[in-house]
Amino acid sequence: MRHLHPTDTTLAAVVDGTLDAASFEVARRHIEECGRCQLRIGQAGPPLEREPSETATGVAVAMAVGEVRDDDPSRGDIWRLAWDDLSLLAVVWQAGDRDDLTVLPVVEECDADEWCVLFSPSETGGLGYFAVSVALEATVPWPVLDARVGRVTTTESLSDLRSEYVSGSPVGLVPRGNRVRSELDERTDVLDEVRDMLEQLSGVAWAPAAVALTAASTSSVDVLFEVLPPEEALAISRGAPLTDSQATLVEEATGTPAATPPLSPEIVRLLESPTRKHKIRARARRSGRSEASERRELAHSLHLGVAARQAGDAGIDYGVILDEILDG
Amino acid sequence: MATNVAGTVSSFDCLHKCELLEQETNIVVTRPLAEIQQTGRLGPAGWELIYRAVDSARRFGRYPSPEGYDAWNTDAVTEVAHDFMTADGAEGRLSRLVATATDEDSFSRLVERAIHNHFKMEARKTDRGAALRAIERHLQSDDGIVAAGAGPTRTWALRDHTDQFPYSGDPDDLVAAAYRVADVRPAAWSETSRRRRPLAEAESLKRVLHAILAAAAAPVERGLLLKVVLARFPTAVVPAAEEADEASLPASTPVDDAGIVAKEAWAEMTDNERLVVPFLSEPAREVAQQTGLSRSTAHRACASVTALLQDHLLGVEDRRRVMNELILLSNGVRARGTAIVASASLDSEGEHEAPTPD
Repeated sequence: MRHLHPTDTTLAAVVDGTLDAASFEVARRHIEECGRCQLRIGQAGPPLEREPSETATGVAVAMAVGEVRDDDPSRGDIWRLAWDDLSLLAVVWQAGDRDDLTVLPVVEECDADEWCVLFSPSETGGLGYFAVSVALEATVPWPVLDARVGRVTTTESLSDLRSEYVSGSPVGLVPRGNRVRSELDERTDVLDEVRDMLEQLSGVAWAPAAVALTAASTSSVDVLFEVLPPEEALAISRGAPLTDSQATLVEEATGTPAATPPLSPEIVRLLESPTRKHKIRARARRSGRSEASERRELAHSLHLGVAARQAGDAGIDYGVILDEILDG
Repeated sequence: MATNVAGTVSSFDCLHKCELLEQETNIVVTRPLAEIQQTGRLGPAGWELIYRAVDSARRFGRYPSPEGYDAWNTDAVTEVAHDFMTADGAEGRLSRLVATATDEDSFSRLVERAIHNHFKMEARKTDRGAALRAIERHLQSDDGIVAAGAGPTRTWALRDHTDQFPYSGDPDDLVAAAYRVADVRPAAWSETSRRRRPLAEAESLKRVLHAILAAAAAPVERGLLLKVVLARFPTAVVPAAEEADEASLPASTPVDDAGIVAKEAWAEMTDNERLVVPFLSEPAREVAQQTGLSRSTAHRACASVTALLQDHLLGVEDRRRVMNELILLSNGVRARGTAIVASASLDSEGEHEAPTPD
């Protein structure tokens, strides 16, 4: 994933000495190797004196902030896509049944080029003015879907502009951004950044490449028992996927990537559903793991949970067990 | 000098710390995004976030103080924060920020970015922007003048000169031609008027623009044309705020032509342009490596600063001296930034304690 610069507020806290030690150290290491942040600090203006009792105030501003996770995505939906530190809004263009999705990113109106359809507030369900790029169309996997935050009232203009982009033939009047006529246009920086984010989201993959533990790989099983606690090794030999830490231990011991059993499609589906994503992200936050790593941990825990119940239990509901783990 | 970007300010760390602090102290740490999600409204924590973000943006983004303020103060910051939240489209914008944010840190980043965009949009309303728009309106309505290109490289020329290369002569010659136009009348305007002072009455401005383009006998680029017109009508524009770092520039800043040209060019540069100045002769890959910019951003920054310098170096004899001054400025500001952080690091040793995890 991309590396983020400290925010200006963080830079101010670094310079003014108001950041806690751990956060300061993280920021300091970044600044040490980042010319852009060094420059910003070096030319920064002075802080302003503010009275201790002075707090910012203003009229409370109401806004539409609904989020839906239970519905499957469909054309015209506006979804938040998220993975680790990345997030952006996109309009769903095509959604199959658990196949990859095709999405069109939302950009600010001021950054819209000629391949962006402009939407007015009456068309965006409370999300104000924005633009949607047909040129930056991307295919993303289901795990990056976070929440549906709205819908555009019409996709006709998107369809028209998309057709023009693909065929080169104008199809009619579409409210669109201004043409970029020079590489020095500052919109190109922003649109490039959106393209980069979509590329990263498109490349998201968390399920480990499955290598079945077969009789031919008995030696791998022996290694498991040498490197891991017996109960963990036993679980893996019976089909539980490896967690990242387990895989690291095995790889360090053998010098080769650890073999891991394939994940069942049902487990993959459960762990990729938007309905649980926010809980998975919260767990990842608490544990300091990435979303991918957290999902692999959960796959392992889910397998253990299922195995613990199989003796005598009929009709195991993986979803119920997973929810127990997430709520536990 | 620093090369690759390394390390992250993790959104997970920041929120984790807030949660730990709550657990340890039983004090509810008010979080702007959570406040909005719980109440559906921007409340005190949100306003505080926006105030701090505006203050940080004006400090690190080098934006001039708003109209009516000679310098930045807390009232000016408050005014910009209120403008940000009450401008046309503000509610929709904030809704989009909330919809895009995944946690408090991501919300803070998104708010900061939106505030930077707000400053840039407001900059378009400054006097210089107004002057350029006024010039462009006159030029566009004049059938005897032809436009070409777009953005910073847009040019205007009289019809007889459209096939020439853009003007590369002495700007002072064009200013002199502008002054030679007789009977230039000021537009009717009162100092108590809320409108900006116009450049001149319409017919006079038209004759001045024609005189400039006739003297050039070639297409004139946008930036140069604005400079010449402003030189002819100096009272029409309020100068931008002084650079905060001028007093702390390296001591060897010379007071001569090369130094003056370098400082003028420096003042007009964006952060990315200032960053890439020492590496203009390098390939984009190398510039990206040295600055931490993406390759495409580095390429664009090099292209735009090259275009800017072509304008500023017109008629300058000792161009190498100007470039050396600019490189000195760039390296000096970065060194200053590094020194500030090193000093803050020494000051903070033993003073700040992170919340200890369970």
